Amino acid sequence: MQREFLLPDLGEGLHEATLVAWKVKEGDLVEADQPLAEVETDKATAELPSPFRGRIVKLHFRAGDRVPVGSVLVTFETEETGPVAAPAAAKPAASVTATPERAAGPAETAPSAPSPARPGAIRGDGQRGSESAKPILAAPITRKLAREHGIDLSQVPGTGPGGRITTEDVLAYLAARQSGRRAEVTTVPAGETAAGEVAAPSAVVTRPPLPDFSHWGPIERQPASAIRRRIAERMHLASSIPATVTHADEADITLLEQGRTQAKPIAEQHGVRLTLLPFVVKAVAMALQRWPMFNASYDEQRHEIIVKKYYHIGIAVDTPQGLLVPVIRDADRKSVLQLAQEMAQLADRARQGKLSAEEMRGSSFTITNIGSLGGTFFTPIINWPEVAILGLGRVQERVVLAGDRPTVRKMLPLCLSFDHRLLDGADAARFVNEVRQLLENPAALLLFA
Amino acid sequence: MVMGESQERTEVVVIGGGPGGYTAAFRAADLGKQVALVEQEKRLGGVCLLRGCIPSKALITAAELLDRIRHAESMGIRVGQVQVDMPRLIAWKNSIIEELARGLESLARGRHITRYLGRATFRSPHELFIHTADQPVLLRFDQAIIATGSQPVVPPPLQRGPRVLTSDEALDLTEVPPSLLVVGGGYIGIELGTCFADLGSQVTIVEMLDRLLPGTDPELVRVVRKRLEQRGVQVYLESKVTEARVGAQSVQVKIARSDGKTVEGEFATVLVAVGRRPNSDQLGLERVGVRTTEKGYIVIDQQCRTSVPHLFAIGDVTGPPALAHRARRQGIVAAEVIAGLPAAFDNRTVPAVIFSDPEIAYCGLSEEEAVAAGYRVRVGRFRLGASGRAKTLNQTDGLIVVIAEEGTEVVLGVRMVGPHVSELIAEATLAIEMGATLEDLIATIHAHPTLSEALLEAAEVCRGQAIHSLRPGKSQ
Repeated sequence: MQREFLLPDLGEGLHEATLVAWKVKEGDLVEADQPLAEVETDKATAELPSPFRGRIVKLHFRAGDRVPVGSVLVTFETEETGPVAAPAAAKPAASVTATPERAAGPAETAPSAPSPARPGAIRGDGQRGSESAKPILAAPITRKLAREHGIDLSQVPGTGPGGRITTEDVLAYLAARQSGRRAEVTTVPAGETAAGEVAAPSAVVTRPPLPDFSHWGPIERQPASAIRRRIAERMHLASSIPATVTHADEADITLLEQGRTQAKPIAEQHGVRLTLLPFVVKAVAMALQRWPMFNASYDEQRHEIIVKKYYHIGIAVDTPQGLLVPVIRDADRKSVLQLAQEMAQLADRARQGKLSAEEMRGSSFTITNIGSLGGTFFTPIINWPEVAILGLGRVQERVVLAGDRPTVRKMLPLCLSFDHRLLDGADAARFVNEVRQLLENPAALLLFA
Repeated sequence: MVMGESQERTEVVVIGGGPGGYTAAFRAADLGKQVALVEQEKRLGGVCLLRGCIPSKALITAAELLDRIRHAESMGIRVGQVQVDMPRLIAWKNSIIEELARGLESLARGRHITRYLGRATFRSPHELFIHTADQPVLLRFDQAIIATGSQPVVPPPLQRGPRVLTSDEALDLTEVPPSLLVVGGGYIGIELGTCFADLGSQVTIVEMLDRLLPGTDPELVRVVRKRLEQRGVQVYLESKVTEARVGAQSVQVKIARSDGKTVEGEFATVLVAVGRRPNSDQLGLERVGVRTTEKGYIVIDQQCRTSVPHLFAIGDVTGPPALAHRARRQGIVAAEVIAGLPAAFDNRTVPAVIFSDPEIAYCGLSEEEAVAAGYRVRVGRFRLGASGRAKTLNQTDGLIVVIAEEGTEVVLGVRMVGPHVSELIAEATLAIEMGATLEDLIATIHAHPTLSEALLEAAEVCRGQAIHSLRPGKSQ
């Protein structure tokens, strides 16, 4: 039978919505709950899930159209011969909730916004009611409103007596969230995402609230440490770079390793255990001087590129508290031995939790080395506001053809992630080639150091 | 496929026709779902209607009336010999059940809910095998709501029989046993123990823990305990039945007490009320991957979803408290979630009501729980001895306790013991659900002369501005 899907009442007294994009095309067979379209109102962007399983006969609007609430959006051909209950189309305004169209759909798993875990029952549900967290004060109607909009009430400031969250508080929070989201959109305008490419209008996707994980098994909630929170913030910033690419290569460091082995006793006389990393820092500092765009930042507000005339290299250090990135200043002006000494000290202080905030600031490029733990190629995350990061994998002895003769060589995997807004793939290849050649040919390293 | 089985299909199937199950079925049907309801008994209503809340309240009301008549002389009413016609009382009780069950039946019919009489087992995540009296049915469904409830536990050395009963059978006794041993001092034991004491049994209560009604505030229990003792009910705490020999006319019982002594007794009837276990073992849950706890309770989330997303569970089978009103709310939530509505069981409190004499009712946190949860609290107590209405009811034993957060004055909990507090608790439950403060209770006019004023007075005491008590503490 044919069934129609009407644009549901999206709540908040809105009468129409803009169809941003179709997620399906005519002739498609869709499952219940499969997203059909993305629509935008003055207040929010929403995905419309299909209320039933069936084949799409007709899409009644085009992307960009303003669609009045209650208009037929999609005509379906469904297998069912019509259940006893009236289909959704027959009662469009049956309820004032946000998703009335789902009410009659034979959804396999009709998802509703999982509500935040905190307002647990004071007494009652024996399995999860005994949380010691104070419950959130809000009337049932207010809690329902929050659920409808996927709002975590613990984030909403309450203005009522005793901090009680009122319906008005939730509406105010919702409005603030919407305008905040719009502001975010304007700071990262569409079209600037990749060099020379014109992107589609930026689709705003709200991150849904976390599901109730205890549903799948026992869980434990742990507070995130200050360092972990800082790392999360940094990573969030890194993820604001819309186009990150990783370029991977290998450096043959057999000769460098021979040299390092020879230099080790000398370094030891200076109390330094000579590892591979200071050589890489040196090589990177040299390559940055030749390719300054990798030592830059991008000012997207002013559409300017900031090229730094200093070479401060951040070194990612794994500590018991989490990832820390102490900074070696002026790596270009230091000898490998000095670099080794300084890095050993910084790494020690990092592991003991003694680094000052200042020691972790101001890097212009970062190196992350997972080689000691294993792994070959990976995707390092750029340490924003830098524009590139070099990841080192594990050195492996490998059989390599020298001419037509197989030889055993020590190979170091190099993974360079870069911000494609500022740098192109060819730039990255050139930069990595430079680093590779310096590492493969210690004489060159000597020459320019 | 088994030969002779019929194959049928529905959108939503509800397994169990108790207060949770039928509520879920009705709500789902009202939301436009095609609904089937599987129940192994002919009548809907479950334990609550057939063997629990409703029949016990009928008997308790009769027993209470008897008790009041016996004590009516202080009000100037002289009554001669009062007799209990037990068969007639049971018939009256049964007529109530019958009438309510018929009502449910017509409500289900009116919603076009397909009824299956039999036991259901999951054959696959979307198929239920229903063992009916005649032809077995294979029912395919989109979503299922498990509402199979719980049943009384009878631990050894006791064994269910004509003289060793659970609440299931005790409510159908057509003769008042001359002597009754109640094993278990929880709410079922106290309610039925009191009831039979009023009807004429010599009642003994044995409780394993060091107090009656474990989990209930001791200050409430004290009032009930006093009344039990006035009735001549013998209470053994920290004691346990170690031996039970069932004879033709009586049961010989040995009770081991905490002090090491053993008491022997002979009772016409033993009522076992030590707890309930979930009816989750016959459903084939392991076959479909529904997670249960060690005790067999089905694990659910706030949407009443089990570990299998299209299978839901509500009521006693999901864990304590085994209360019909909790199941009812969960039933609504499950049905609405299935219909795609943003429902959640995020209630702040499930009120507890005990039909003891006098009644006990509470919601939210006790003072102890509130302090443990990190609140700085203020507590206000109002004794019913100072209530005009309690005096005119000639029932002044009781007290109302209001627990509020210091500073914000948000009401955290209310505890009550006294006449009709099972009704009074509703206001307190609403207050907690709404996040009300003392001011909300105090500024709301409570009709005079009613018992409800006692809650107002307790809230005033909590703030330190009581009208009907002296030394109300700090005034504001």
